[in-house]
Amino acid sequence: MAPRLIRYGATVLSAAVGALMMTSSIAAQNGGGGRAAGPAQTQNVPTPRTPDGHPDLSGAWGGAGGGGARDGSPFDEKGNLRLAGRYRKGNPVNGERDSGISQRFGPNFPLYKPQYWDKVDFMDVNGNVQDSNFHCMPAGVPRMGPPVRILQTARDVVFLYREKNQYRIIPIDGRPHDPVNSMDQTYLGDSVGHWEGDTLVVDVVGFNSETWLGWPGYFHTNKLRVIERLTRQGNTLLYQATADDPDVLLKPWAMNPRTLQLNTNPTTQIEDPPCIESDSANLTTKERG
Amino acid sequence: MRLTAATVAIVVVLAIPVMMEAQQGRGSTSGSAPQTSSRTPELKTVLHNAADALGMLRTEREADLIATVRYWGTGTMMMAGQVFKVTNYAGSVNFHVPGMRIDITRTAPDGMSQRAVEVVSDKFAWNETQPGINPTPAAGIANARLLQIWMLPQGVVKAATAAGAAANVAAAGGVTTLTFPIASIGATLKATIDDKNFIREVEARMGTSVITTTYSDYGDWNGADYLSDVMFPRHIVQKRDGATVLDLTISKTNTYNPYVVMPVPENVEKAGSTAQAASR
Amino acid sequence: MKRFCSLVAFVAALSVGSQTFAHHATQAEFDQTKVTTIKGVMTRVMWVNPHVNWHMEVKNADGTVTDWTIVGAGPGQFRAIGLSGRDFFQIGETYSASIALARNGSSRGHIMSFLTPDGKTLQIWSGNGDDPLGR
Repeated sequence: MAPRLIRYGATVLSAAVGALMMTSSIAAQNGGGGRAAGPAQTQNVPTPRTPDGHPDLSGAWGGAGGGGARDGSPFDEKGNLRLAGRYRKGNPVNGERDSGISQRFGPNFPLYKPQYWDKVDFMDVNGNVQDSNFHCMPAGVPRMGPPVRILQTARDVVFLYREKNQYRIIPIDGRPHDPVNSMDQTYLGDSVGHWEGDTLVVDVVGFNSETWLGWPGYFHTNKLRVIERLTRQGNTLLYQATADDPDVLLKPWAMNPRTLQLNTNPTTQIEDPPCIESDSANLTTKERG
Repeated sequence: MRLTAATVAIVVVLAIPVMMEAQQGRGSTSGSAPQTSSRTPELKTVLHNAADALGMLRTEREADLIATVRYWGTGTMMMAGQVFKVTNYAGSVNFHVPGMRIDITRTAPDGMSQRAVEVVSDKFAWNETQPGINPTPAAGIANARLLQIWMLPQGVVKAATAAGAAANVAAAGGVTTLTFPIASIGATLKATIDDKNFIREVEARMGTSVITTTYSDYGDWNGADYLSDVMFPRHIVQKRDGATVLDLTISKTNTYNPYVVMPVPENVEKAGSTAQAASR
Repeated sequence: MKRFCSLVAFVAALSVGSQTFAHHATQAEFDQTKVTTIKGVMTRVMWVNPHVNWHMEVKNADGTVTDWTIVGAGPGQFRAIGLSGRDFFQIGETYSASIALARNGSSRGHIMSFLTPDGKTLQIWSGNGDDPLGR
């Protein structure tokens, strides 16, 4: 009896970047699969603009194409499933340890003041306990990275994220921060945007100190300020974030820029909320990856 | 395969731990290129196997992903003919920069305790009173401190790889010798690799000095709750021109690419450029 | 239309710095060198983030009953290869599960493979050790 494969219909809020890291570059290497191609044309495409002349950032970004047929169907003719994980030497223990080493590789490290070096080390080594994102709290800005879907109007952009089904509504009319919201302490901060030429600049303040700038224990205070820059060129979105926390950092941390392709066939769903943590009490060692 | 009739079948299978594989020199059984002769191994193969034995090659693409390493130990050191007891030796290395910070607490023969923090970061060297605190420039000593980075086992592999065609390999009696220059600091290194692909000795010649470091008892010293499969020697002995200057027993490592930075302080940077101007 | 897609049950690092990683601490919780096979009745399947978990009621040799919790990857990974809870996991049916045991001795394990009531093998997490359920 052939196994039935369930297809999940595309939804409006479809996400592209899953935990499988199926990026468009992987799809290109794998030669695509049995699906219609997702990545949009990238050469010589004009940048869509809104009536007021600004680039229109609307679209689904990243993860186009999905995974290719690397090993063929995971089901054999008898209906047995065999999933071949992509671990070094086929061992998932290697997979996790390598992931731990890889995620801390840098070389672009935030520069903490010397008096906080031990704290970063403690947070990192004890991340299984200390990382609130690992325990289902939001990753925050900028750790959650660029949005997977953007909806733009004349007055706002709405950023939709795959992780924990989050969103941010950001005014883009150049208004200043609301004096009350900007002194609040939230996971996603208070954001205002303005245009610098064709780049949308988003200024974010009003964070709590629960999140990290990055997985390797990069903690921050509620004085964090993040500047995000989004530039659409044709069907490519450039995203770059800089985090400034003068209490603990020697200088602002300019994170590596990300380049995302427009995804015209977004079928992967947004991560279904809620995140239900059930492992915390059973974590025995400090390994993580 | 049919299941047994018992409602619960407990089968405990002990898979071969990855660590045991490493200690048995799994690098030597990896898919390496065929040798051109029975006596001279290929340089690429030697470097790959040495890197693999040290746990440097990670992910499916087996890339060297070791960026930083920290290690702690105790032992003795010799300075100006006197033997000091080292109660805390903390090494922090960032191979990207390249930079190293060594934080030593030692007791002099007269019983006086002292702490020295010695740093090198790319072309600059300085001393601190505590990590990151009270920097004072240490002119002219950057290259000697950089050499210490490349004499570490993981450093040897990285520097030999960077030497490209200038590196040479020879083999005799189960021992492989890897020779390579580090042009940027004017040093030549000769590393001896055993039949399990571990680096046992490194001899460095720089200027008129000959510095030899021996390594033994490789293992994963992160602790049972934080294993990474990166191998580090537990015993390190360094000699300078034949005299032992450091005898260190490592008690702990953090080889999960720990947070290590050495931003160059402003006063050090200014002093550095002054020294360059004066030497013209 | 069938989708051919390979599953990355756990994230392998492909490049550094610019990719999105899922985060795991499977090693912190489970010991892959200690693999057990249990057989029991499926009582609940929670298809949730961050980890799908299955609950099985296992009758021990002494007649007592133990509730086991088996943990796997997140639903997104399974969805990507079309593995649905509704197709393969029926409440009230008997399954065998090959699992890596929890380090703290609790009745928890990380799934390696299932044997379904109709004899299909679902090998979900490839490991170094032998799979007692075979193929």
